[in-house]
Amino acid sequence: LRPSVADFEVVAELAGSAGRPRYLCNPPDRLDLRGEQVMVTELAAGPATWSAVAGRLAAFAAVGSDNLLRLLEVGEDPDPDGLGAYAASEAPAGELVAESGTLGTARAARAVAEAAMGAHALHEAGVAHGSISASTIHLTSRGGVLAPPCVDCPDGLVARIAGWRELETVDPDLFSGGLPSRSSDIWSLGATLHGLLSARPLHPGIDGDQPVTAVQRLLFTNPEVDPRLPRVLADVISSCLDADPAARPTTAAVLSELILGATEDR
Amino acid sequence: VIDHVEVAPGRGTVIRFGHLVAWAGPSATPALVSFLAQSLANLGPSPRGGQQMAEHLAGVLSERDPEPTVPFAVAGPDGGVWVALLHGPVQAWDGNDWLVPDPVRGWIRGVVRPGPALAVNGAGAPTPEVSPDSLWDLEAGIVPGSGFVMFPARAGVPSEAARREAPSPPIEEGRAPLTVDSDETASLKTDPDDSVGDETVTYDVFADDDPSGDETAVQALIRDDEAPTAAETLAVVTENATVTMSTVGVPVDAAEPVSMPSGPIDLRRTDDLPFKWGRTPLPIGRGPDGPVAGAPVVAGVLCERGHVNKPGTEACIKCATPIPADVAYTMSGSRPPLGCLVSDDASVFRLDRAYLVGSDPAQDATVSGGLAEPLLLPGEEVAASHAEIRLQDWDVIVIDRAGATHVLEPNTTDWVRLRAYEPRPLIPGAHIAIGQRTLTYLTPWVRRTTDAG
Repeated sequence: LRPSVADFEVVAELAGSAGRPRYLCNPPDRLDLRGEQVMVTELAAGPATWSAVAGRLAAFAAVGSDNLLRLLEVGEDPDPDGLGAYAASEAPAGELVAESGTLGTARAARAVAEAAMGAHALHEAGVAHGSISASTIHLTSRGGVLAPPCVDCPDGLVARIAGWRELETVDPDLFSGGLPSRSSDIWSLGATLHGLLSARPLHPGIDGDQPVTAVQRLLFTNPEVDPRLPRVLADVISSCLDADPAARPTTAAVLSELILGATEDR
Repeated sequence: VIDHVEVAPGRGTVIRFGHLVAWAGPSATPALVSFLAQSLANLGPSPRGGQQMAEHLAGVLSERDPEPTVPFAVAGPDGGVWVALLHGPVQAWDGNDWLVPDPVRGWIRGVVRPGPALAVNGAGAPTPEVSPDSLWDLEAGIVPGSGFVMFPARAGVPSEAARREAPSPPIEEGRAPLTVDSDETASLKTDPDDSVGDETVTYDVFADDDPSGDETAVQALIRDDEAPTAAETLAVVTENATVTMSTVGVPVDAAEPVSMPSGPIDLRRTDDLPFKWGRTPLPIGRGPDGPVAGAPVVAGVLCERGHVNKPGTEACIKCATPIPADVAYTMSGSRPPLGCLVSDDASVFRLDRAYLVGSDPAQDATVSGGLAEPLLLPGEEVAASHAEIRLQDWDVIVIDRAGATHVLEPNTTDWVRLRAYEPRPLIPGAHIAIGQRTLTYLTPWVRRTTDAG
């Protein structure tokens, strides 16, 4: 465990995201956070990519939605063992959604619905997220918030597959080469909700350790929503996973309402 | 029109006069080189010299071909587009597509879209090594060379030669900034002194949603009045310089190219940051496919909702709408992405661009020149620049550059070693061995989506 990242004192290691280590840290006094702990994510950014990485984070922060992870600072990491840069953000209120596995239907649905509002705010600001999954949805004191996508990934990278749960959150259109969009983020939100509510994959038999066959399954087979899920929620999830993007909820805000409505109906 | 021309060392002849550039292979006779040089000298000053030269050569070659096996090529502008004529064993790469002569006729004339450069050399040879920051520039004349890379000037940016010759601009005291008071569009023609070559450029100027600081931030739709078919381009413009350009239809990520201060940066106060952002909401739903500037144009079939599909596709890749087998028409449209590459470490790369694969591909001139994205694949026996992945029409091509690239095609058991620099089309599902690493080509353009399951 690193003792510090730049001048952030590391307290504990959190689950990583997209291969990037994340830590719970005590912030330096200059941030004036009065004893709050923060989350620090290592970023792969050298001098050649610094502006792009910092600019993407600044653009995310500028959206200013309550349903987006509150970013505090981006800086260069002088530690030669680090990845070159770091991003500091508010810390999750408890365990990360990706680690919990026991959120319960109502809490998981609410977290995804709130993150969907964050996605909607991004979309209205002209940005598609492109990698919504349980690892980019955090529970904070304000509820579910959406964390930034991979800001330091190389151009052209669709995904780094880390198990079938992450893999299934990627709209197959992106594996066809398509660019992230409203509809691809809506697929991701629906698949993430399914992953939080069901232990079964959407594509039976999919193996995240076999990336080629796994991507082939996503490209050429239709997802199967767990029939044991509450029907109204299953219907909402199914609509997000429609092969025709035009048949999915038109916006992430509409999806958020649908999820909350389906949860209240139960 | 031309920013600069770099000459690749080697055998052959490179010629440039004005806006025209030509290459002739080492087997060209002095008579052919002289003919090309004289023609370029005559037509080089013309902003439509590329088209005029191509027509001139096509007329000659249609009558007779005095040196049918000799490679040569010419390239030049036709208003806002670029035209090239290629003859014999020669190739041109514009960053998106290859142009090679028709094997029956022995030559071809076509439009190229340098993105950002046009590379011309002998067939099968590696792309000439160049750097966009290089100081080498053939301004005019006839020199030895095995090919050339031509960088067109960008709108609003003076050419390399002009930059060298221009005195430092005086600072204008009290110069009124360009301002737009509302969302209405204003148009202004560039000052003749600011025009690019002989082109007339019109800027349609929109107020920026988030102007800040003392920069005059506007968004401008730049179009070339001389070439109404030229791709329209969005640009974010500050007081004196084009900061970034992005094609219409693609979200403008203006935060990316602006130089950010070195860290740490307080992200709680983004109003202080120097990035501009259009904040145009993403489109809702998926309408018909429109032209994508910069994407190559291919022949395809349309589904009833207007999505471009590969000829022979039975159901639309994007909306699953069946496409009748008896669709009587084909169309031309911007090529959709061709699928993805999956690496053995489970990274997935979008196939909408060319890649240079290797353990240190960013250092290669193909990447620094903007002709391919780097695909970093560190590992045993992986060369710094090991293999190129190129997109040609609807095909994905692999080209070995290290003498150690193998391909395993579906339903076969033997890896095939590729010959260096010999392009090989990939079959969907093919594995590529790059040293001890592997990439797999997957694409939806292989079967009907309605077959799913």
